[in-house]
Amino acid sequence: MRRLRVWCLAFVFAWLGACSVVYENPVLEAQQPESGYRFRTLAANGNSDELFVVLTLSGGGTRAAALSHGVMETLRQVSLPWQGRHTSLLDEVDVISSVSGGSFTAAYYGLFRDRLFRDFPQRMLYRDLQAELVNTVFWPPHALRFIYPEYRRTELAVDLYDDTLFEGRTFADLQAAGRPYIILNATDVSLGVPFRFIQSRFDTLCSDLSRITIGRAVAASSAFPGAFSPLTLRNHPDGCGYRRPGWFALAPRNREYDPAGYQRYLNEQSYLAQVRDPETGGWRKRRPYIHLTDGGVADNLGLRAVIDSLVDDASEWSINKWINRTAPRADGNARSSREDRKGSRHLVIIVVDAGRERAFGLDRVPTAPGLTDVLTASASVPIDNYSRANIELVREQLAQRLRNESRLRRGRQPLPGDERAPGLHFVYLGFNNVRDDGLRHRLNDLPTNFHLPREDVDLLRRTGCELLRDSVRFAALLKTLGAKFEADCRFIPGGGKG
Amino acid sequence: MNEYVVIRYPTDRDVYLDRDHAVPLGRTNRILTISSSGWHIFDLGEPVDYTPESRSVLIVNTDVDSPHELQFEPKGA
Repeated sequence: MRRLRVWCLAFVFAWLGACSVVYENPVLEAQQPESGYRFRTLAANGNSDELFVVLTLSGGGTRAAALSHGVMETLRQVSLPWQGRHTSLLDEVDVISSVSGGSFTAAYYGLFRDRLFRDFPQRMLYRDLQAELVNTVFWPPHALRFIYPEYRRTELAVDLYDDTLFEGRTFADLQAAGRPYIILNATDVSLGVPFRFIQSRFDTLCSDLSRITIGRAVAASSAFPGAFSPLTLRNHPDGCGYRRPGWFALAPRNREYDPAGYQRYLNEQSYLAQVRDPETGGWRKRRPYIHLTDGGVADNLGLRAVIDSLVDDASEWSINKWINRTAPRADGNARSSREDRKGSRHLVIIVVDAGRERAFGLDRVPTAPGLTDVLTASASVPIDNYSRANIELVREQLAQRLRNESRLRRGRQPLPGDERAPGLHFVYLGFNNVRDDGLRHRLNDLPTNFHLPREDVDLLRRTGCELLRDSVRFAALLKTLGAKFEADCRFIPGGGKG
Repeated sequence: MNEYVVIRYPTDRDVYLDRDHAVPLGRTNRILTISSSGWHIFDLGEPVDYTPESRSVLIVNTDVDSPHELQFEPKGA
């Protein structure tokens, strides 16, 4: 009887403990456009605006994290003479937009900088994170938490990542670290669009991102459907004095001129709209909860953030506004010497894609594919097609801007103070660029879970380096910038082919 | 759809788009690119020593070679 009483008490305490684990994101008291985790509040850290480098890191579990790591450790080796000093291309990265597996690498670099190259392989890449996640679910005190329907498996991932990887750091810490601006992308399940862990997004929820841990954002970004439950945020009632941006007033009027902008407006409005609560009579948000799943569902490359900055002048790091800084004068044909013109400016977009090429294993046999194969294809084919379309969209946008910048200057002599058109560079790094057939097939066959043998991790890191080394566009960029790169990739474990 | 505007003013100063005063669209007297067609509001930010205080204009079907031109004047000019 006494033993039963002890067990009952233990159960009650564990149950009460579980009550406290249902997460509620912190309320924002007042919206402050000049503070919080935003691009313009980050210290530049000596990072020059004239060389604007954007890195996107795709999803794909440990294989994506390792490939991203290899690319970043290689960019760190690129020595760059810039504005009278020597720097590395990695130090010039201004924005990193990441999804799922790539978010581990991005967030770790954002918080700990060079520790990414010292302890990240041991702390994440070589680890069997998958087994740890499974073990933590079945640990009895954790299992008890699932009594609550609101409690999700993803909460255990949040704790694991915060405790063992990100050391409980928050977005306040990420802000304090300064540039690069790390954009961790999840997916808003209802809207089917990227949900970014940046304060401007959390302003619409009247929530304070600075007190949210990085582990939570990475867990949301990598909550692969099926393996992880969606992560839920509270969309707090509008008590923070949210001020709608100026373009909101114009968007309904522009619905036919700018349908994409109007859709962005509708999406934004969905976070803000309020309805009368029939029980209390007060106002509440129409979507009081926002459910998040893996960022790869909406955009597996993290490239949507770049597209938005290209097509949306209200973006906090509008690429169009950056290009406009060197817009030529509208009139006059006065001559000026080349020396009158200021130094060159360059926009560099590097896309790291750990996605698979299409496989043809099903086509080796006459048997029709089973239900699992068809469902897998149904889920992955649209994402792959969308990724390819996004790559082409960015490539075409940049090509069009280059053509227009050239037309803008055609037949004009530069005036004093005029600058040359900025250089726009796009570098895509994916497995389909691997020339060796055997290696490419091996890379494509690697699973996208959170455990890979050490030799595969090193192979991926080395591949990141070799993709850069073999990229014609990257070579052209280095030549333009006058940068130097030790191209043997031997600094990565496992050696390089040189 | 990219559109093109020139905001005329006697001196060089910042131009702001759609009341977003965090980052300027560009500078006056330059051929500026806008990322989307439609109605837009232009102003020159602080100090408001120019007239009109802002201009709301429909920007469509412009081209690099034929940008939409808008004029602001110093107050009292």
